[in-house]
Amino acid sequence: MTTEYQAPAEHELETIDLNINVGPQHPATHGVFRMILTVDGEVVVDVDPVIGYMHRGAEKLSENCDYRQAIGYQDRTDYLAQFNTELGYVLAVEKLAGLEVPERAEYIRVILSELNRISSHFMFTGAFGTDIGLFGTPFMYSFRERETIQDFFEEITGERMMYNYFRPGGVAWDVPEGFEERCRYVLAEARKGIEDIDGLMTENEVFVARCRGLSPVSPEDAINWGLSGPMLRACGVKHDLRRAEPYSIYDRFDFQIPTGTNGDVFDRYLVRLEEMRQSALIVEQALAQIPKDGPTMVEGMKRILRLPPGEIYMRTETPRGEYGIYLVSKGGDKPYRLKIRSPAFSNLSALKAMSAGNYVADAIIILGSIDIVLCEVDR
Amino acid sequence: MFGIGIARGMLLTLRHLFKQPFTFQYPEERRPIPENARTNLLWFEERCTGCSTCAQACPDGCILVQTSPNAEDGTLNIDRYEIDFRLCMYCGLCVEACPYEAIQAGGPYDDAVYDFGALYRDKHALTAMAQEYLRTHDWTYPIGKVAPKPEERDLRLGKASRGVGAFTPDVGLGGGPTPIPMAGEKGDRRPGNVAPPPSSGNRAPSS
Repeated sequence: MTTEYQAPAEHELETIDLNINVGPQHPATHGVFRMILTVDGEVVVDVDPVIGYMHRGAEKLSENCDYRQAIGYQDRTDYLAQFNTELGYVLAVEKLAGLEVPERAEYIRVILSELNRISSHFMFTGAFGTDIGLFGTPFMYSFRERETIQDFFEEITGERMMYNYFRPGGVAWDVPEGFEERCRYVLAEARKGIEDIDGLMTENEVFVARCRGLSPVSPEDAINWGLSGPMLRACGVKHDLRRAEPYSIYDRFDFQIPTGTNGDVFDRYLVRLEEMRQSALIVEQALAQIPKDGPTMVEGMKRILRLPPGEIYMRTETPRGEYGIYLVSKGGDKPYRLKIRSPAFSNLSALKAMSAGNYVADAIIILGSIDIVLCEVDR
Repeated sequence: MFGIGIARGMLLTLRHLFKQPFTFQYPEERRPIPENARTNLLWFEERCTGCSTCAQACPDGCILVQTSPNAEDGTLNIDRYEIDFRLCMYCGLCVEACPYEAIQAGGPYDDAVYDFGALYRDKHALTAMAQEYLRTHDWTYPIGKVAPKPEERDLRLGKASRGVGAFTPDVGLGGGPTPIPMAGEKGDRRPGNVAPPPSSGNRAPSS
């Protein structure tokens, strides 16, 4: 008996969702991050992010170090904005110890932190361009400018990436001679670079077509998800910890807080671009106000700092958002507990809601727009 | 009109076409390094007193110092001084902590190895690295002070260095890489039973 093959009618075709594994070693995931995408055709239905590949236990390691030694681990949480994370930690320790930091050290810290914000956002523009498919030019231009800033940091601290320069009570050593001239030069170069990136990307029709209107987030959702930093401001929420809770000497500078309107991917890019310009403004003002000489460290600081018992939560604004340090001291030279609230972790938690319903190619862009640093997510 | 933004971007790249290249052709052409760059750790045996302050300052615990009191004058013999560069994160806290400037930041930055265990450097390897640095830098320490030249130093045992048989004058004075024997290997001159680091075929960093 022969049976003839009969093609089933179209409505009888059974379709199932397909799982696509992106990562953990995939250049588009910005580190070691795994996304399990469930796709229906080309459309993403579900995202299952898998994190923890970079977990080093920085919080626990810090409990075994004295307050100065743990700065090295702060560098390694957010390896694109090391000065900002160091600043958050150092401020928490200083607040608990009740230290009054010399003026010059405060200005040096702010200048370096803001330059670091610019360099971190350069990294974003470069990597984001690559995510979209503009491989060569924005990536190379961004890295060129970032290189100039990193050279400057290397001259001051001696390291290219893991600076270990801020200390509770000031900075490790005074900046080398010619700091201000070099800083002005680097700033001018960075500004040129910002305009280059602006000219290359902002009005590029392909770029705009891919980004505008992609995964808009409402301000209510953003607050409920705990987004912070440029992700939150792109949704139109004017919240910047440098303004909301001025720490260090940020209340002395005049700068704007850029906000977006739609909360889509394009707004996130625009907010970051504008933030770079505002950071450059802050550096310029700080350079005009910085005392020419003076101590850069609290006088009579001992190498081993002993904190009184107590606890503190210090939050600062890093390029990725609210970076919180929760420090519990029970006396002695080591923290009893150090908890790091990393902004990229909270921002990443909204990935599922943001990318569901979009195409697979757009899921990569949405992930890129979060500007994650996996070392900071996993800690 | 569609395409104006792209055209503007193209113009921008065209402008950059006539600029000097920003990159270096690395192995042939080397970027100048800032003076205080923490490229590596150099340990100068003649300055070290064996106080272990560096080991206490290290967050990773990668410095091992083992000393024994010298019977003659009560100073400390440095029996072992080892840095595990596999753990070291080049934070420079040991450099800040050392009261005698015996450990200083500087030296070769291109010291990648084929064998991971070769990054465990004992007294011999560290001295070879430090002497090589001094030889190529006009016998000046990275902090700018003048170091004693080898001919000015008494190289007899226990004189130039407080350690027993520590300073090896043949190491670091000739050009090219010098093989450094590891514990248990042929040519190992260290006294006592030293736990062998998990490596074999160690070579000194070539300059």
